[in-house]
Amino acid sequence: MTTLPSRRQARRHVLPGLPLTLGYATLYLSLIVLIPLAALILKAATLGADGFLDAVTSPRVLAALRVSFFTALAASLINVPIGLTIAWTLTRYRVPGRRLIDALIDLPFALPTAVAGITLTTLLAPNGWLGAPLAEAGIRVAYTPLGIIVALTFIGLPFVVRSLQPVLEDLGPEPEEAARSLGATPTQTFWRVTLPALYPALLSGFTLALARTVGEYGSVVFISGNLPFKTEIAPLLIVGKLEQYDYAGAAAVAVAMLVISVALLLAANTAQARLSRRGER
Amino acid sequence: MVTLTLVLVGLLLLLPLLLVFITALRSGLGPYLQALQLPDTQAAVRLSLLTVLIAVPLNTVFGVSAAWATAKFDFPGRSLLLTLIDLPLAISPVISGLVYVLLFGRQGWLGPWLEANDLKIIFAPAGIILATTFVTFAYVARELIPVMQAQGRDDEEAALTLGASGWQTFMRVTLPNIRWALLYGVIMCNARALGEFGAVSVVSGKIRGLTNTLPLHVEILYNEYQTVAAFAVASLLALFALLTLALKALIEARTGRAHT
Amino acid sequence: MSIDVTQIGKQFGTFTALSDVTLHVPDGQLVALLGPSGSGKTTLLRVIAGLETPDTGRVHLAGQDVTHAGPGERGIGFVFQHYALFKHMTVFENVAFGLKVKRGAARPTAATIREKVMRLLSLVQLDWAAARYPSQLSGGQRQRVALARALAVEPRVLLLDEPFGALDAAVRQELRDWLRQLHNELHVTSVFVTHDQEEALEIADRIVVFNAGRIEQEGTPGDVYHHPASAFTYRFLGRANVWQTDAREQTLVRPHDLHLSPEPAPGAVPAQIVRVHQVGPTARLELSRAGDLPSLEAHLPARDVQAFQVGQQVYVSPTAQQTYSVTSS
Repeated sequence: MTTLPSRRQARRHVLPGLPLTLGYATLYLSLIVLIPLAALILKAATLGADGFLDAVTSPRVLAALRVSFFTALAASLINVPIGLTIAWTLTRYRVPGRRLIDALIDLPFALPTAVAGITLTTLLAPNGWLGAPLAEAGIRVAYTPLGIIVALTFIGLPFVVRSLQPVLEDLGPEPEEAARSLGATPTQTFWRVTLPALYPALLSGFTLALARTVGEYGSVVFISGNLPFKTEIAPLLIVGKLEQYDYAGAAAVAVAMLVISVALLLAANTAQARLSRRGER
Repeated sequence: MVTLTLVLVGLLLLLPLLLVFITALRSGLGPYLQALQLPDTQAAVRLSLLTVLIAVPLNTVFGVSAAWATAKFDFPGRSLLLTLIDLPLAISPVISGLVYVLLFGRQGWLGPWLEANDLKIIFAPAGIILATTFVTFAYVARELIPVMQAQGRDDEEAALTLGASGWQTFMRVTLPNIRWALLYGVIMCNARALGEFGAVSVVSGKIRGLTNTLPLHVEILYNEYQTVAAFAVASLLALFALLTLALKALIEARTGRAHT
Repeated sequence: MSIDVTQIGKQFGTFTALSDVTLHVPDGQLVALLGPSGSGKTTLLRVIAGLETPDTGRVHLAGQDVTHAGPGERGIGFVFQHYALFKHMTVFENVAFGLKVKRGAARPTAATIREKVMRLLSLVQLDWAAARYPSQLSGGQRQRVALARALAVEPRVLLLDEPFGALDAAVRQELRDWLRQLHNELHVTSVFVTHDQEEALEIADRIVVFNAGRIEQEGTPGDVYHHPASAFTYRFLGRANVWQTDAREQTLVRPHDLHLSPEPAPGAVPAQIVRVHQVGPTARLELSRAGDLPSLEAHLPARDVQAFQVGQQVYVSPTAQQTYSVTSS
């Protein structure tokens, strides 16, 4: 009976506190999140369908949405091999200072984004520690889309590493040893046995990084240079519209961003559900 | 592989961290301490602390309530509630600030009423606290829900059969069982609340000495080319981030838990 | 204290856990609720404890209606299958918990609590472990702590949910004997849930057999074992051969109730020995019969099996059998 098909609601719960905690949680959720979000959608709706479409399809808005989306996508893709390398090393090798490196992985999460922003900008500016040699080689990073991608790579890194680590720890050497015993080369073993087992975790890490970076603001505004049509991200455009008291316009761009984020998450969740079902993890 | 990892970690994580402290101390200890003692910096420290001291306990009480309701009970709409709790994590910080401007700003839905009653939320500490609460909304709940769900209800039922009241059961049995997850969630919530920038910058108005939090203060100093002062304040925040990482590693070692 | 449950019904969504269950447990008895998993026995135990609220029916303890009383107000002690010991408390603190949470004048002094807890711990032979944490104890020791903890509040009824289910065979046997002994000393009315018929037959005063949310049969272990009221009970209490079956009736025989003879005898049917296993003192023989008749399993004392070998033709007759109408199974 510990494995009942479903434990549906009884008329009266024996554990106390459901009405109180559920009531409080729902009220608090409504006050802090749901009502303000409803205000956003209502504000965007005041534009009417045509007004809304005009607002979100103006060339500058489209350009900003494109910059936000593609830089986040690029950064999350870059984080897949980087995250895999780091997670692999941390779980498979005895590295000196492993614990220290492991703790440091969460730095981008714990470090305020504004601090990350000014630091990366100083590092990569044409006179910076890394910016100077790169400028010498003819590569400009700060104040270009490349700079945005670097900042978002920094921000997204922990999501990929942390998604992979537990799966890699679980994986164990047996499947690889089995593949080797059946005559596969190390390269074949990696591509055909190890990597496929990591697909769901990779996708989940990629998705989390994408969700986090697509709306990122603090670390980007300093390094991007904020040139309309080139390096202006959507959140910055919202701030700009607010400063001009164009509240409805700001709300329209925000709603467009929300739709993109939710669609991305849904697509990724579906893909992941399919992948993990196949892998039967 | 190991070398590549060391290079990546060095370039991506260690180098920026070093740069913060080296730039902050570039002109020696005197200017560094001076920057930290500026009245505006002190005001920013006070406002940031106030924000954290309100937002984190609010979200902690919410997290414990939401976790108790969703992990110990089944009710219609439970999975919807779980999805909605995660919602703020998928929303750009700037939008998290914007929603409050639309609600409480001068042209907002409640703006005229607030003005008539001489209340100020936007461009005031209240707005900063609200926006921070929104951004860090899910952090405690997300840590607690899986842990409480995995623990089931046996311990609570045992306490009830032994005559404990609901409150005694919670304080003496549930709370000790979740203490590490709770601490972990509070630390992460705290780090995020202290460092929040996008949401806060939208609602703050950046009035020096009044509505400037530490991250906003960093931005202002940086934009005024007061590089040493900006990095001095940034180094405070970075030190706090390092403290967070150390505590986090300590809890993980202590509980043998996997990474989140 | 006697327990009376009357016409209890309980649904979990579309699943009927209990339907119209009525049961009387007399004061001072040790009763086993026996049945396969999902048959409703644990749900009934939890209803008696107040951990589930029944959809219909009433629960009386010592004649007092407690249907809507909380689990802490019923004077019961509950022992959980997986012990549910509080991990962050020592063994001593676990046992003392029920005394420490008493309010106002009902709470004993620290000295009284100390004395009582140590007395209980020596009763369960764990006084040496008072300062340890549950994680430092074996499964059997944890279960004894759980029992001491339940006894500390001086329950008038002790309820045990699969108390030995998570333990290995040797410890199980030892704890079983010990529980029976403890019951003889304390005489507190006790109900335990089990899916192990041997456990129930060995230590219970009465056995209540559950099937699909209903009580299939109740009685003394002897009654239930020797006079199973239905094919379900017959099969659940031990291995069963189908001797003969038709559209209306089915005749069942236990493997040790089959008599084998090399010569034809009245009432005996011919069969061929397919396989012989020696399992310690018992030999198990697999027999096939001609036509559509189901094959049989016979158990003989190992020394009697020398007379038989694989492939040999034998004549089989039942020394005891039960016939049930087919619809009742």
